[in-house]
Amino acid sequence: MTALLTLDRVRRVHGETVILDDVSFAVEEGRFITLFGPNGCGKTTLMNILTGVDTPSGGTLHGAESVRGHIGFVFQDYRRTLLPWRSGRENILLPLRLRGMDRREQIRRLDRLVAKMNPDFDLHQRIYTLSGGQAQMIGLMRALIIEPRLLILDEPFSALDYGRTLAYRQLIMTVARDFNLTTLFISHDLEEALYLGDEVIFLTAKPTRVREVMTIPFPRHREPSLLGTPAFAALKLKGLANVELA
Amino acid sequence: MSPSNKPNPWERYRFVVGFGVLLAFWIIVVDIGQWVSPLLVPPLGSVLERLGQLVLSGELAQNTLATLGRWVQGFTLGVVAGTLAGLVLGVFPRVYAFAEGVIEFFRAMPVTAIFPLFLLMFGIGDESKIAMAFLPTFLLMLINASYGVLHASPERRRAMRIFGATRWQIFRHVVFFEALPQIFIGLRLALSLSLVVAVVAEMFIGTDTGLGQRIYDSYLTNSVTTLYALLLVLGGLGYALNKISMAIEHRVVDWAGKA
Repeated sequence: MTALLTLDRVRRVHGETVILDDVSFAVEEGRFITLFGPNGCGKTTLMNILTGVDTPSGGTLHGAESVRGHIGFVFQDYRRTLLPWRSGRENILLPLRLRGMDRREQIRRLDRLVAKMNPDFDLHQRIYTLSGGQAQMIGLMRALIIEPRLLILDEPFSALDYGRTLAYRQLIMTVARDFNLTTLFISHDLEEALYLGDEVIFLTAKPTRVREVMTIPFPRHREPSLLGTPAFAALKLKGLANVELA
Repeated sequence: MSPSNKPNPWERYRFVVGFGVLLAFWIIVVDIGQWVSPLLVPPLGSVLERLGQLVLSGELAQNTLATLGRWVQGFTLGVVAGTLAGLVLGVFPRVYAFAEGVIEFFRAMPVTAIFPLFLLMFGIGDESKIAMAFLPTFLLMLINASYGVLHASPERRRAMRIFGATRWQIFRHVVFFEALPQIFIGLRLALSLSLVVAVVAEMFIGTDTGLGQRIYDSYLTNSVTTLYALLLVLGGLGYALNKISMAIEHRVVDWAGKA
């Protein structure tokens, strides 16, 4: 399998503070990788480096140039990253508009995406009239409209209730499969990280290092009933060994 | 709909009821009770009769238009220049840090105290009065527009950078809209203050038209009924302008506070 992105001893230092300390891992094409780490461990810095918003102080990031411009990003704080003065539809089209894409092509892409995602609400509504789940659906569609090679989701369900979170996990797995995406999912919820990932990368608290990379033995596209099985409980116990108690 | 969400039928008549009570109080105290000297507060009936005369003679329209003409010029110039300067300063926080002291210096200065200086600079004609309406508008718009830009959501800026937006695109799609609610706050503050200042400027020197000039003239000639009639018009004008600006604000930034 080809690596889409490889981080080799990536460091990020702000003044005297070391945020990322020799972080190394590979994101292989078509895989669903979850990054698990405590709050404030430098995941946002890592994402900024991957997306080109920030640059590393040391180390190498292989493959970054080939994916830049092809990264779809779903944010944790979706309400604060969507534009409330625009409709859901305009929010989805924004990344294409920024690229100066022809309007007819934008609409064609949107129609294709709507046919695949089948949202059950009116996309012409303003963002502030939508529920949390609907707004996050807009955030997801905004990430997918660019037809990304890499989809990054930064704790996208942290504001949703458990029932909705379960439903959205299923949706993300379906999307990753149907769109044939390489996915990087950031989470601080161990159950979520283990349930979704083909691989879970455990990060330490700051200065951030990779503590362990765990391969998940379950086949892709899982059902919530998996969460109640002894095999999942055993995996969770193994994962707990990598959790630092605050 | 829960009982607390039911629209109160009195809501839309609040202004009429409040104003009706004030006028009733005026009639009881002045017209009926005669507890206040008519030299200080004339009967409401005679004030309304005088108002009617001012309307029919065309004098009211002429003076209102003269005041509005000066105010609109100063206010519009102030809004455009102040908003543009505020947006630019907000985009360059280091420049704003240098300019902040100067802005605060002028903001702390009573505008009316600058009028003699404006008379020297622009003469006794309309220009000095337009400048008087311009200055507070400019300062309020500048302060509020720059504040709006400086406090634009860092999360949306980051999201736009991740989407590969240029600095201009971030400004056009995010920062400008983020600043709009604050710009409208400045607009409403500037609207009342600049109208007050424009009327006060007319009272000083250099004009024989305008509501301010007519109010001062009424005082000099002891025409109390005219004075009260013009004050009623001025109050109504300020109220109407404020309502119009609020209606525009609700339409343009209906999303404010809901994001």
